[in-house]
Amino acid sequence: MIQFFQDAANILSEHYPFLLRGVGYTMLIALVGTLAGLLIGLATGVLRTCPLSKNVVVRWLQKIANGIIAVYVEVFRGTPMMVQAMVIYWGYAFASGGNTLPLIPSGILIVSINTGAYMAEIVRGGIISIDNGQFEGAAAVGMTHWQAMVHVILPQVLRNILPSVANEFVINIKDTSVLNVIGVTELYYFAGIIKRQTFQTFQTYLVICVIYFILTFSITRILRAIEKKLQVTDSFVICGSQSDPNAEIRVVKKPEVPND
Amino acid sequence: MKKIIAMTLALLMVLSLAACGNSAASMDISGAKTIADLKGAKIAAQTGTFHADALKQIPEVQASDLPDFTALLEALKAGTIDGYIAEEPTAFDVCMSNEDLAYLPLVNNDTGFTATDADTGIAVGLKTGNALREQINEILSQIPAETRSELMNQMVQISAGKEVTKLALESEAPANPTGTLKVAMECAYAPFNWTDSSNPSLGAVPISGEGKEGLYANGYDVQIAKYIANKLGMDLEIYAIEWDGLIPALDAGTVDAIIAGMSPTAEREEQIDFTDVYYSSNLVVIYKKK
Repeated sequence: MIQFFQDAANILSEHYPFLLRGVGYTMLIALVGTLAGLLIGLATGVLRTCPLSKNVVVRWLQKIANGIIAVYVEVFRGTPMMVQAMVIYWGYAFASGGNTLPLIPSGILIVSINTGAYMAEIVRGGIISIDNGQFEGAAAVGMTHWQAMVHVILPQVLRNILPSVANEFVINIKDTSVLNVIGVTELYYFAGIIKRQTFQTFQTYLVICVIYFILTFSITRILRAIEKKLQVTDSFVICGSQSDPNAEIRVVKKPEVPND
Repeated sequence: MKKIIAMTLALLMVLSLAACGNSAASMDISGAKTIADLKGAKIAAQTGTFHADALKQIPEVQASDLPDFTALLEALKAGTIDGYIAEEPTAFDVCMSNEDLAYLPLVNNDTGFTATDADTGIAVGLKTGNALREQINEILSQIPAETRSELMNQMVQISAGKEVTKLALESEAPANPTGTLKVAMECAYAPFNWTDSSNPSLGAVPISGEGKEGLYANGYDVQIAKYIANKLGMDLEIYAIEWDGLIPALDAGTVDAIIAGMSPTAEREEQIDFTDVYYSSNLVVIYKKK
């Protein structure tokens, strides 16, 4: 038993430069992939929830775009990321006469488009969960659909979907491990190298397991703290005047009696 | 009432799970002399290799396959399998690092085991119709049999952490290289090819590719690759690619050659060309000493 922990400690002390590099690439790919995926999700979510235009041409364009997005979401959500990695990486190599994509950027690309497919659904869910009264209210004060989206809906959507985004981030930290099939030097790739050098498979994977847990656990704590910060517990009241258009409009936290 | 139903269901689930587990009664195969003595044993091999087909020659074998050699080794140590198929140099390497392991050679035609030279030899894989094939065959024919076995011996020593001062196969790097020879291998199949991370061993070559800084490849295949590149007057680049990615990499033109302990089997010959065999050895079964 003591020997076992000694082996694990030796793995850490002898191979830490490579473990650190693996952690670096894992976090880089997971972070950039999740952010890029969120952007894809926001773009597709906004497009898909946009009401159909009265203009015939624009309406057809919207329908085509919605169709493309639906295919993208279903294909990338419905196939394993490991298979996507193989298909994209070697597919590009076949198509380009042997050139391969640089490894780290292709890792980021694969994670991004895979996450994007999930995020599209998360954002769509976030938008349709916002009460219709908010759209109507925004329209009532003369906002266009786009203005309502940017100023009223999306800020609330972002706050509401934060737990799901955090979930995706944690999943991505773990799922970057499948990128070792195309040779991306993330944490799991180095686990393979270390186990083959030391012949200590179980000890190596235990060390890797602990490192992954530290990464995901610290990320969930940080994101939970951000979530708490964004939580709204107070109610707001808009104070103004219905008769005087020049009256000052204020937003106050607690209900108070306006003295005018 | 609900409690009783829940308890019964839980009990049923536990029982059905227990029934799923294989009986772990392992066989002692240490005294086996022919493959008939291995009858009914649990033997495994690496997925997608000739070994996985070869083990079907064992009568009533409980065959299984695992993705790489460390997984096979772990399964053997854990007692999940009775033994696994490997090539003799690999077995020698593993048994040097693990005192409680030993191996039985499945000597061709001697123990009831049959395999062709193409099955037990390893060759350089090239894209179909590559003109380098004749040149590489010429270069390989210049390496005498003693040098080959001496080099393999040295690689086993180096892989086990022993000191070797001078390699049996050496060649001059070309002064004015005419191009680059890109070679793919797993870098995970000692002593044919492995990865050095901390200190590169004698004759090791840096692995090419993004994020691979500080990683070196060494082994029998690496030395052969270096020799071929030098004799062709070319620079050498080594790429570490998964076993299943080797042939796609060659097909796509990402690499020029596979030098990865790959046997020129008939199925592979349909997809790629092979040179003459540059090493041949026996298949063995590695087992745990009782």
